[in-house]
Amino acid sequence: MSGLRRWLAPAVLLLVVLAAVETYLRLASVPDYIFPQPSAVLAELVRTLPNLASHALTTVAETVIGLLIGACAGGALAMLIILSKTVERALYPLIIATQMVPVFAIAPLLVVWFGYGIWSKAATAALLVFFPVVVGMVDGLRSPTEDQRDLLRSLRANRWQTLRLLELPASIPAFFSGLKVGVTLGVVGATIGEWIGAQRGLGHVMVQANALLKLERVFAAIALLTVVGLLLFGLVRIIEKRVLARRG
Amino acid sequence: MRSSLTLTSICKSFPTPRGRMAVLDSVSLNVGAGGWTSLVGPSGCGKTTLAKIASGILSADAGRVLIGGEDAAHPAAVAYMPQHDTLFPWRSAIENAILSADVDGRSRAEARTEARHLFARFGLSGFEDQRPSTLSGGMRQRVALARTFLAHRDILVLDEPFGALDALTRAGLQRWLSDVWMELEHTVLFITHDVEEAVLLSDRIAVSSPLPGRIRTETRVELPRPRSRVSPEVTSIRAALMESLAEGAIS
Amino acid sequence: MIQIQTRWGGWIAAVGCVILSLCAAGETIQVMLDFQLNANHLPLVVAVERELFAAAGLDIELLVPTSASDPAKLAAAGVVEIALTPQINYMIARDAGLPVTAVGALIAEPLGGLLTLEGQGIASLSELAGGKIGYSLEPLEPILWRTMLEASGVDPSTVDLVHVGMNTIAALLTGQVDAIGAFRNVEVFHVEQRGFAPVFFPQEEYGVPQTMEVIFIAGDRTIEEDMGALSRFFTALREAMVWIQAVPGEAEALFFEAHPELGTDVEHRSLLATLPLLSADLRLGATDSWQVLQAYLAEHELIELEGDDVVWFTERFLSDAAPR
Repeated sequence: MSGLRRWLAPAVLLLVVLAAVETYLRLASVPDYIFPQPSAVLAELVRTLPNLASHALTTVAETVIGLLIGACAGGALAMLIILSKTVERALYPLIIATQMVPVFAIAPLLVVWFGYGIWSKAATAALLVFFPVVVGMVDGLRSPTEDQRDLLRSLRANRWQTLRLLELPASIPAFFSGLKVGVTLGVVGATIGEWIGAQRGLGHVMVQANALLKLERVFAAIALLTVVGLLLFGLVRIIEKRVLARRG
Repeated sequence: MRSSLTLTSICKSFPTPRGRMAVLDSVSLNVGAGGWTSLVGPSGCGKTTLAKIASGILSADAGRVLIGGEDAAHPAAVAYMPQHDTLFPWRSAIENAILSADVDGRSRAEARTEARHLFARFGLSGFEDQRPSTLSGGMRQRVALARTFLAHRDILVLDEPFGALDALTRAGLQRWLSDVWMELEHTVLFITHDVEEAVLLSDRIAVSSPLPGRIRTETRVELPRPRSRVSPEVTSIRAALMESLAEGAIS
Repeated sequence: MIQIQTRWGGWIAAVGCVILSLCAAGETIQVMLDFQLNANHLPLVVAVERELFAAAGLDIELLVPTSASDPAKLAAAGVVEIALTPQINYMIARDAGLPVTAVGALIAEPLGGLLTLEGQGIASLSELAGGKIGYSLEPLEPILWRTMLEASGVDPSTVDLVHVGMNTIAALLTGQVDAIGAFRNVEVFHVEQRGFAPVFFPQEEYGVPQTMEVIFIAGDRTIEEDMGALSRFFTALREAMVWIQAVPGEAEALFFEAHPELGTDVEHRSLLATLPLLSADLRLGATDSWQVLQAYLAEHELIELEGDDVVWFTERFLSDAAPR
């Protein structure tokens, strides 16, 4: 029961917020093509759930692949950065620059490399995932104390041993911190990737519904996207708990 | 037979925003093979720096470190125990203890077996698979000491191993360490700010002055072990050393 | 004392300027474009630059939308007075219940169709069977292109319609698709500029009903509350159209002088191609062409409105006489 009770507080809060929004929209007579009422969104959600759910699965698949790629790339880059000061000075500004480039600017390049299928969406997701992972993991790799490093130095450990025996295990909590931020960004990234060109997915649904001025469908897709984000975030947290429990 | 540790005219200075600061000024110290020398001094007089130089972690600006009469080169001949318990939180107690086996490339299984025996001797039986966070301060120090012994080096450099512990735990561990050392006969360089502790444990005590660190006095302690902190000999040696320390502080 | 005087003096001057500018300005009309500013908007730019709007007492602001449905939404909400949008998009918006009405036409001809490259060996649409068509606007474009395929005797299910996002040119030129949905006055020239030979199939020649590519719409409340501004707007626009037809070369020069950032080779040729397509009288066509389009959209389930009683447009702001 405690599991259900945990969800009680946010569920109640959500209901209160939605009720407030609904009331405001009705009282202010905001037209539904400007902003849909939560009740209309809910109706659309219930009505087309199987269809939306299948689109959601596509977005989830794109996000998960992007997450895996981004996490691996981020981890590898983090290790390169701490192994060499020169590499760090050269790479870090470039890494930050990648986050400044809006997706629509690199979209054609991504399409040439990855086509219009699942991989271009995974690419846009990975692009947004890898940055928090790099930042988190670099901090984590740098977290061991001087005494811990002295200990290994006194045992004449070489650079790789220090990395393997000390820095990598020490970086795991920070890696997961970065990954948790990354997973939510990854969902957004996959959605944006679908705007480049897609047949399926919640981002695609949003664009299509917007063109048809079916805003309740746009927001139904957004609601489902939120659920996707929460689920994936929760998944990462569960993995984090397992890993940290085993590791200590 | 264990090796001796000799430090000759060690000088060390560090760059600071205000210019170079001399931390060690021609410090010479000798620990006979299988002997126990304590270095006593006020905080911040360079004792840790000397410990690191002796362990090969830092290099001196001048002077030599001799092990068994020969220049200390590489293979690490010294097992160093840093000031703060540096157990890796993600390793269990026994995994922390066998860290040196992982670095040296020795068999983990053999190291574990040896560690288990040592744990039994150290009163840590049953705690092998516990994470450091579940162990008390005293137990963590014992695990760290086990790790130091399990490094299979002749010489141990222990930097204030009991500094962070309460008086009761400290007293217990002092006696226990003394017993262990008498059995295993390592060459020990022991850093401490606690004069009484030095008198209880050492063959020789070197007193260092405040920065820049120099050896003010060296005293032999030839009392039989185990020693009692309330015995008159211990008390008088302790008093003499305290005086020496006080003089050093004023001058 | 002096400091306080200066501070208050500054405020008074500022307020005074605002009041004066409000008095000096005419009525403000915000016009939301259908896209980023481009050659299609030549008459608007001319009317602004030649101060035809200003002479009519109108202060015109041209706004760029963030998405294709913005013009209809914001006009319906009264946030903008006038918006530009394709006829089909307008009909879909009306069908969704938005209180907007078409009030004039900027380009009363269709501009769309299918574009392929000469080297592909596609001389007629029937050769697209088994191929791929790239498009950017869901869900409208697939319907149009399928109609064109059917009209050429191709079974649409044998053709892969791929959503390729906004950059359709890249998809075509890199060979990802065999043809793309395109505008005859835009992508055709992009393709030529890169050294390829375009082959264009106009949509109206392949079974797609006649549509007006860019029309003006206004919110119903804007229309109700209008005090003559809309008529003056269209009068000024018609003057611009007359001038453009008289001296097209000067019109071209004026456009690119006002917007040098648009001065690309493609844009120049696009403008020249658009000139004959502009609707000089701004009229919205005969009612039955709307009925035909309505039936087509209903058949393809883009709208639900049926029947002859739908009033799609009004031309009352287009006459030379006084409004209302």
